[in-house]
Amino acid sequence: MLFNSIHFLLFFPIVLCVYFIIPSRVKYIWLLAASYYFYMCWNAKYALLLLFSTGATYLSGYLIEFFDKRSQEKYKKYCVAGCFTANLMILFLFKYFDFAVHNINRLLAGFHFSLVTPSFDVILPVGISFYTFQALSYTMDVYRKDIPAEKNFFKYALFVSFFPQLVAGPIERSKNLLSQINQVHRFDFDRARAGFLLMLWGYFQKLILADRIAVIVNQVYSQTFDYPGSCMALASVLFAIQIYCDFSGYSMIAIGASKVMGFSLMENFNCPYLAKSTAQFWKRWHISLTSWFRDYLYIPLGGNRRGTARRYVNIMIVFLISGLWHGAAWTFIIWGALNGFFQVIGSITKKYRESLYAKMGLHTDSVGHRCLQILTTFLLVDFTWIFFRAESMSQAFSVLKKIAFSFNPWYLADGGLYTLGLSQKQFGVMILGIIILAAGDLLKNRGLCVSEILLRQDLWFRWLLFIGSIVFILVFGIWGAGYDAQAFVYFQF
Amino acid sequence: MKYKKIKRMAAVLCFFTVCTLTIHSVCRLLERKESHVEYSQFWENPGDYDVWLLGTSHVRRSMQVMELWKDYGIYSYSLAAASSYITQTYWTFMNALDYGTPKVVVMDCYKTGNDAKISSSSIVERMHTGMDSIPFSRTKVQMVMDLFESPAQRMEFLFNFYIYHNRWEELGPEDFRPESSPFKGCRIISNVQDLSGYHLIDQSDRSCEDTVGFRYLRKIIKECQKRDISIVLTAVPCCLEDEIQRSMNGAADMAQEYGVPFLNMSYDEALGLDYQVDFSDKSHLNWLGAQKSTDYMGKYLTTHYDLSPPDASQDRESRWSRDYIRYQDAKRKLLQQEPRLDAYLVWLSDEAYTCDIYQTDSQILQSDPILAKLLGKVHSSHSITRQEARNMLGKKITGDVVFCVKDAQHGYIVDKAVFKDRRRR
Repeated sequence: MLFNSIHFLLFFPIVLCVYFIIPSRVKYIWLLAASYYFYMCWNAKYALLLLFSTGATYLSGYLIEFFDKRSQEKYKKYCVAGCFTANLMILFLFKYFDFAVHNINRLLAGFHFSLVTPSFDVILPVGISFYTFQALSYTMDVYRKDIPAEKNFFKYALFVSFFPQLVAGPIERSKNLLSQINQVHRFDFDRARAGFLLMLWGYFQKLILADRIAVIVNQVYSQTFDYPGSCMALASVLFAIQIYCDFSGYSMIAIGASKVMGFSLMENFNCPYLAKSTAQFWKRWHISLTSWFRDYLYIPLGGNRRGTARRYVNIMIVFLISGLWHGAAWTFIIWGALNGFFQVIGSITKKYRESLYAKMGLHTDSVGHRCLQILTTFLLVDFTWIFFRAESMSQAFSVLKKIAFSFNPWYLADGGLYTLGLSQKQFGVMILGIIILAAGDLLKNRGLCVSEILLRQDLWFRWLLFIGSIVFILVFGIWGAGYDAQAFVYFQF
Repeated sequence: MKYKKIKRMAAVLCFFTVCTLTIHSVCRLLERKESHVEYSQFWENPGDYDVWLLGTSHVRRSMQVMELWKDYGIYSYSLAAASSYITQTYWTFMNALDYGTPKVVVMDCYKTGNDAKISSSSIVERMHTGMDSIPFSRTKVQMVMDLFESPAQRMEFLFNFYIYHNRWEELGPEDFRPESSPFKGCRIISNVQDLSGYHLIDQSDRSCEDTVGFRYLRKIIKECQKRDISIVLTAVPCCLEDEIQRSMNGAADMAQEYGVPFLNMSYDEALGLDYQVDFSDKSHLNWLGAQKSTDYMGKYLTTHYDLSPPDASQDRESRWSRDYIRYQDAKRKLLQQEPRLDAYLVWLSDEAYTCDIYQTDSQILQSDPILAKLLGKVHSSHSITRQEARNMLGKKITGDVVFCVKDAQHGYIVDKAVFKDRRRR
């Protein structure tokens, strides 16, 4: 079930109504049932994987606490290792097995060997990377004694499968979400209204922008030979906005839906394209994953405590694994490597740049300089998105080659802009949407909360705006017959 | 505290009401208007019509409701829809019965041979024309559930905003001020296709297999008999494959089984069909053929049923008189916009017009047997000289043939047309 399907628009109000009517002691059972139904709508069999991951991590938490009481540190470690191995093996089997075998075969081909292995051609279970990481964070948190092990299996199962964030995050921490499951949630008008506003903003990002931009991006990337470099560049810039709106839109709907029910999920995006460096970008983009890697990989690897060189190595390791987490393909690995590389280079050159600015007498806090930093960061990030979006390495290089050597901007000026899949009017709606998005992010970046500003307005103005927004999304959104509602880009991860 | 809660609940309720009404208005605006243009008159006042014509485009183009009223005083409406399977016709009929009861139903038996509830996806799009204007009701829900299996299709027919929400790009003046069609569900076509070579199979060559089409036809007949509504089965002339004609002929068996009349018009010489000029294509009669079949049906209905309104109201009569004027205006526009010579001559067969004709030495109207025949059917014509034609046009004659069409009753000029190489200049 997708957030942008009619199915969800029926499912969510029903879940909500029942949730606030039934007694508090059974609310979590109801949410658990709803969450499994939500997941099983996509593929009922794969709910078993979710159940396995839940069972394995629940058991590990229980055993870790058991051994901890007996001060058997060694067995605690075995439990963590066993739990990680079991969960990551499943992830490997479904996500990376074919990729690994394919690459091993290519390697062995150089030595005239061949590893004949039947391919494991199955559909990737939706959200497997998300719920596996979320479940593993619980094991680690219990091991680190950040939280006690949850005794109630069903409450724990709800933590792993909580439907708003089950298939595409935010990847929640047990510290935050498990404790909320134990709280009593009653209907709160103001909270529900704020939640619905967030959902509305999420739908705006997804239906007005992400899916409209996808038309151009898909068109250009499916026919890279037919379009000049200017179209490739435009599609690549638009892809940066598409993936942001797609993923941030999903997160907003998830956070909003949870908020309506009384749960507070962590923020996943914080105006990432207003970042002034790639390092800052990664503090604002997919925050729940980045912080997961920081807490459970970067810091255990030594973080920045073991010298500068080791820190750079750790950064590269984190970003390579982050790339691999996003997909089993070399394009994702290169994407991760580039992001790590930019951070390392940024860190190495930082003092030289600052010294240069000082010698040149540049004011680093001036608007112009900040704009330049934001633009440079955007271009660097967008460069990496080319690898992220490309179907293969050869396609990525083909796109880059076209941008570099056959740019031909006149193609766009000469009416070519409207041959990319969107009519002039549709293009206009897209531009309007981007302006609204940018305005929202700029206000947020200045510390202003748009929803709070709106809620302070007079009733007639609020209603006009809310109803206008709903109608705007319904009319101008890309949905309905002929629209394949399957794709939130991050579902594949 | 309690007061605050009640106030909030009232505000929420009010918000959702305003929101729903706004969305509803936007839905109506964005909706494709074709269905409303064709059928909304009927759904607004189904009780106004004594005879309901049911079927496909065959019926829409063959029986002209306004002519039935003008010549025979019959108040009818054509609920026939293009490419409609009998399943759709049945459900349209059932929906209509929720709002009114006719005296007579005329049901065409084309598509009886179809053994499916609906056709391919391209036809599904056309079904919107027949179904969008049907008011939302339990029967409409039953209709959609019966016709479609896919949830997406059910969604698009029950809540058509699902497909029309992105029509904002196409909105035009007609979307803001939709006008109902003056043809009351009918269509008039003036193309001419010579089908004189068509071989009609023997009337006794028929099949009445247990197809979906026949099953739903049976349901229509039973429903009529249950409600004491007279039903006339028809088979409007067409020149399609033998298999189709065979299944249309097969309706005779069903008519016999239920004791209802079956007018297989292709075989009735009284119709006086001319296969050379009366068809617009293999499936449909043109205006010439339509006049004949309308006349045929008018005579049959007035002979066999008492259709004189017991409560002949002046109001209904004056409404139909106004509608007839709109109908004549619409026909006049079609004449004025007609680009083809043969089709233009078809329009001129209407007794509402007289015309002056000038031909150059090429005598194009006589050189072609079809044009010559069509010229013979022009209601009232006389030849004029080159000078008269030039004076009438007010410019040099640059074509083969010139028409000056006048209103037969009042004499004012309706249209001036010059044709060269059979195309209007």
